[in-house]
Amino acid sequence: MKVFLDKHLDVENYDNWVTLTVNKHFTDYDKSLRQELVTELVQRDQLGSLQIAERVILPHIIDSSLAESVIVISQLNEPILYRTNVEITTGIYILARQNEPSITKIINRLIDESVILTLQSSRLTLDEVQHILT
Amino acid sequence: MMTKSGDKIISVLSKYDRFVTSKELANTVGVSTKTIYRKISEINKNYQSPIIKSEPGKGYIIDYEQYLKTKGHDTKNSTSALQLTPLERRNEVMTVLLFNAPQAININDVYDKYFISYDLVKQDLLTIGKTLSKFHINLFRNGNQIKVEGKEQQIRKAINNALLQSKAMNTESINDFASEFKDLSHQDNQFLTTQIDWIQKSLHTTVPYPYNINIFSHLYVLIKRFRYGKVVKADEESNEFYDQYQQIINDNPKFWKISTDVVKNTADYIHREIPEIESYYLLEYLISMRYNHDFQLNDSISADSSELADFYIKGFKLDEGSSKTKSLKNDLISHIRPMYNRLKNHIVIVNKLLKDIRSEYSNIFNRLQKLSQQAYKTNLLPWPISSDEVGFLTLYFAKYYEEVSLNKKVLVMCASGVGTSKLLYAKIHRNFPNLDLVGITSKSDYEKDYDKYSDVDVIVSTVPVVAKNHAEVVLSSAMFNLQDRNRLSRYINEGFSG
Repeated sequence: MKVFLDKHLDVENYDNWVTLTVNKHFTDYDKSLRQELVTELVQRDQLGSLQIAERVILPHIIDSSLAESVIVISQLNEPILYRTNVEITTGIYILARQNEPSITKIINRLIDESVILTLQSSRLTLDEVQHILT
Repeated sequence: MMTKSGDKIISVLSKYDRFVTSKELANTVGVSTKTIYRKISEINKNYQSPIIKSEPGKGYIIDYEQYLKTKGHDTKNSTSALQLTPLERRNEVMTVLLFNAPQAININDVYDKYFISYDLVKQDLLTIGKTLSKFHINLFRNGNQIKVEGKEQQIRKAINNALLQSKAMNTESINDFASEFKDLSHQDNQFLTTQIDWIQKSLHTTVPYPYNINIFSHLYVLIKRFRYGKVVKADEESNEFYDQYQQIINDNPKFWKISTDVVKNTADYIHREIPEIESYYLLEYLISMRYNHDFQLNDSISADSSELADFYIKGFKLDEGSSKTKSLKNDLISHIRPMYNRLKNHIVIVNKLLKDIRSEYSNIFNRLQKLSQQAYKTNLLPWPISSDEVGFLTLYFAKYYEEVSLNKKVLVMCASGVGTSKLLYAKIHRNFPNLDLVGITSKSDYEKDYDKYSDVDVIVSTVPVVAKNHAEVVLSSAMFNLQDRNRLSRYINEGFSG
């Protein structure tokens, strides 16, 4: 499982954010597969809100074609308007392989509200993310 | 001071935690949309920044956090004669008139402190007159002199009603209630409390709130009327009255003994002679109260109570054979039995929680109110019952639904079964620790194998899903915020759509 931390991103909306994140961290994948992941993340959002805390969303999909599960903590410079009226500044992206045991562990960590707060901090480092989530 | 409808607007908006249109608000609060605009503007003026926000086409929403932060900091918090509601003012005036009955008092002495117009005083007296006529008490006015006349028992009941309505709504216990009476000495308070203790000791049970304050208030009024010598000798009652009087005494020997003891103690305490009829009045109160353990009684009231309890249970279409329904029926009978005596004897009890009950369990409350009206029309209930009583009955049904809901099997779902549903599961468990959460699944797994989840009663899902079998779907965000919690709570506590 790979873990990334993106900071100070500038995006216009959720779709734009998803595309940027997938293109940045799935460079080994061909274009159509990357597009497939973007579509899945957008479709999941269309099904129901991904918001898990104030200013935080959890874009997530399970895809068996992934070579490895990927977690991206993505922090924005400016909030985007999510679902018309909610401002979001942090995305916890989870793109997981089927039956990936470490995903359950990570989700369990997110139940703790202090963990969510830490992931929103502008001083957050990749080491800290790895320490918290893995 | 916040007005009652102002409080209700805040309570409704807090409950919904979403935009509510002025029409919806007006319907729920029971005022016009114009009043809603005016009240909301008044409420917002009491806060540094508006707590109720509006958006064109959407309605109103409350900034609940802001409200909680500043709650109680509104600038007009103190109470004085000028800030009483018209009902509170009329109750105060009525109490003064009743305590002085049959002596007349000067209208200006009573009304000076309220600074209200002559027309409003006139209007007040008309309303007071109407209220008192329900107790067969007449209000007389001669120039600036006003007085009331009626039977002592009725005067006493009218005082008790007014006192309970205006004072008991803000109290939590008998001590709180006692502290509302500025003229109640420490010694009197101690005497009255001792009498309540005596009653409880003699009955080997406790008299729960708010029933205990009814007895306290009755005895307080008795002492005050006798001590100041206002009681006039009662007119001769009809034979029918004495027959009924004797019958009630014969049916309730234990309560009669306690009544006579307490009245004798009171006579000794205030050094006055108190006629036997007072023991009978107290007996009426004692048999109209709910006690913390029930007395085995097989009389006509028990049969009527059982019939009415069955009527309510049928009205909710509950399974009459289940043990939970039987336990509900017992609870209802325990309440209805003394309620019949209260209605018969014009004794009111106040329900301090009424506002919250109406807002929290509106479906149950409304249904019970309709059923009670039907029961009255069909003579199952010989008297109409007040909202306060309906509120108490609501609590028994709410308890029933809460207990039944604990047996409900709840499944948590999201699109993948590993993301938002896991968070939601943990949050539901934290907020509803007694709920039977049977698991987490993805929408596709559920749709692939409905039979696997055939015993599930409720699906809480972050994505829309069509349930199979008998399950109900409650959509929720993974935030599980106040709105989500309220929705689930309403479902599991009421369990029916109204």
